[in-house]
Amino acid sequence: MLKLIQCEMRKLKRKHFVSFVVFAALLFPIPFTTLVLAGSVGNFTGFEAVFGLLATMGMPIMLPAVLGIIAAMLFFMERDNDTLKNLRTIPVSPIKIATAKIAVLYILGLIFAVATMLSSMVGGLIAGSELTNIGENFGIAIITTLLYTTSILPVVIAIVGFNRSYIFSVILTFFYTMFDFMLAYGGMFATTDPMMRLLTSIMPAPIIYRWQATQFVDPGTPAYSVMEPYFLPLWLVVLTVVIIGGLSYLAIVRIYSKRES
Amino acid sequence: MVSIIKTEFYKMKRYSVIWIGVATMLTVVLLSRFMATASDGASHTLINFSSSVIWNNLVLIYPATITLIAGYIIDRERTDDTLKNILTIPVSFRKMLIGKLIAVGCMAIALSVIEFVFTIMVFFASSFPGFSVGVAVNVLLQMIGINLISYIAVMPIITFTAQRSGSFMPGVGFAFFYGFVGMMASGHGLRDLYPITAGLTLIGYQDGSGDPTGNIFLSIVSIFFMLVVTSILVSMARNREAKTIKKKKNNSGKMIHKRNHGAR
Repeated sequence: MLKLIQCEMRKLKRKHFVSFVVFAALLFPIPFTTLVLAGSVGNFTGFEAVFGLLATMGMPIMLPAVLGIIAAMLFFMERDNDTLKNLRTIPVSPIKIATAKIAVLYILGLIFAVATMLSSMVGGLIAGSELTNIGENFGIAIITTLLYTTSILPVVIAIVGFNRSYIFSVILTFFYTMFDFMLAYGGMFATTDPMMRLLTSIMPAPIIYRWQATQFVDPGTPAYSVMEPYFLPLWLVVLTVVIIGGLSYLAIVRIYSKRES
Repeated sequence: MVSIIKTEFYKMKRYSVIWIGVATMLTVVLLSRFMATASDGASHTLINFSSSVIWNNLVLIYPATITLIAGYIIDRERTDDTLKNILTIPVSFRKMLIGKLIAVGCMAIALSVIEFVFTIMVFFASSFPGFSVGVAVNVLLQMIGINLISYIAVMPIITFTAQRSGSFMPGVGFAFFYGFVGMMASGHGLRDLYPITAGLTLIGYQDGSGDPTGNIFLSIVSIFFMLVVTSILVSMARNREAKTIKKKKNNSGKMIHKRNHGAR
């Protein structure tokens, strides 16, 4: 299994994708640091503000978008180069191949988390503050990354299932990311619509945000009192996301095994 | 030049990527409709609803979509290996690029019209109040205007990534980010300076909340700046793959890899 993951990483290396992930992780800190320097982020200042913005706004957008593109590359690679038949004759079971590819997504996600963490520290230093709570924030970054990486798996089902062009997959990923994000930030705390309530309790981005809010919103502020009834404990969020991810994983493996067999 | 643009339209007819543009517009309109449900209590006149469509389209998906379409039809010449034929006609890479940019510009207008049609359809289907022909014409013009201007804002990305094969995907990712930051730039008084959102002032966009009167001079300057950057990039544009392919001829193994890479 480890060897398979290694192989996948090597294949990705040809496409320079690790650097792409790091580059993507470094994009959002630039405007966010500017925002913090302009001094307009609630009660937080410096490093905490940059990191808070990154974890709640930067990651939900960038990570799924980037990982969606990478997932498309990973799963289409064998088709494009017609190497699936070679792998199958080694023999490597398609379940293992699919699992290795998903594992690579997680590894890249973690790289993204580290890059985010480092860039927010640099941003914090530029904003002229001390770096506090690094351990705790790093934990939040890692948990957020793992949750969002799992949240992209339903899209991977569609990417593998439809098996269409890159364009299709990218657009699909963007739509999913956007829809998910808009649910979390488009009036989730004000709506009374039952459909909307249901969706914001199932879709990954809203529930992840409902957990993140417990970390980033200060008690006592007006925002806190509005959001408080919506707070979710971490275990519930993890459970929901893991169920979504687990079902998606089974579907991906099933679809991938049926290919060319 | 006219015939180059004409051929681009012939080619476009075959590309399925056009339908992705149409699907994008439909999804944006539906997303706006969904968000209108979420924020109940407020009334949704044609102006409110179309503003929401314009805004969502602008910051969420349009910059990435148009970059994707443009990048795809330029890269298509490489994947279909027709670039060499075009260059030997001879049509210079620069001329081809300009032709394609203009053709995609026309497509941006077509997409705006499609966006408008979907908006009106969804508007009537949800029986929102406040329709009048004057407002509808105004909305159509606004959509065309903002889509063209944000197309100008992403043009530098398109021209830059067009020169290397396969590099348009990262460009699309960047355009996605670029559009999204517009949301924040607009919220912090930088609406006229940020190229993506600069057009909002020019088209007289009213979001109801913030100050509707932007600085027209600043927004024109920022759009003009993007045009200048684009023209500089276009004037220096050439097919940067030519050299590397020559090099790779010495190394046949790598050449095969390159071909496969391009054939996806």
